[in-house]
Amino acid sequence: MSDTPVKIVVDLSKPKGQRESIIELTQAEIDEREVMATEAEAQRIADEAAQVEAAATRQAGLDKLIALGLTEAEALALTK
Amino acid sequence: MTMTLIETITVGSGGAASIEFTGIPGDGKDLLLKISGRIDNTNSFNFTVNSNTSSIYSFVSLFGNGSDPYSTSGSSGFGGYTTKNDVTANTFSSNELYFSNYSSSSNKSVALDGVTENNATFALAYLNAASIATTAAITSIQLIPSASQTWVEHSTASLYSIS
Repeated sequence: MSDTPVKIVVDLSKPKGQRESIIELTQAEIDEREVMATEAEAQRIADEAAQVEAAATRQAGLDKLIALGLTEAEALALTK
Repeated sequence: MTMTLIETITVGSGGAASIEFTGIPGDGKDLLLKISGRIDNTNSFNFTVNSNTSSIYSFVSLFGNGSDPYSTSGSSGFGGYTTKNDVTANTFSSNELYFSNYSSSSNKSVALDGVTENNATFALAYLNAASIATTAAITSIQLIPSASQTWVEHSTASLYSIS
């Protein structure tokens, strides 16, 4: 059995029951997916950075409120 | 408004590197794609339309993951997040992609939302607004795991026509 990845294709222009095909990916499609994987990894890193920045901004805001004299519970209540 | 199921794809044994609907008839107003998915070793997928992998996609997303919410944007055909294969067994994500005016000659907009599933603290909920810079009617949709992985067995994708 081949290890080549496959795609499931449903051709809606065909009658029901004859639509589905399981097709091995071409080398061009495999290469294309590699490029997409690289882009996705870059996006994942950007997403993580956005998440870290959001958490850091939130914490900085809390710290400033606490420095103004609020208790941590009071500061947290303002962020709900 | 009428919502009509066009077809459902169910991934069989061995998984699939992508799920594709082709030959989409142009007689509807909008398209709705519902996915129950799980992917090997990654938790996101991309979509493309008309097999077009050029730079015609852009998106903004809002995430919640059990801690601080955050947002992001990008220029890929980001589709959404699914349940990853190393979390609670036999759990699948729920995702929807809504393609408005898919057969028009204007650029296309897509609204996506979804939740992953995991019996632990970490799970994702997201909203995603995407734009596709193409005036061509959408005649095919490809759903591709974003790290050269596979949709696992029992993942399903159902395409509906909205008219």
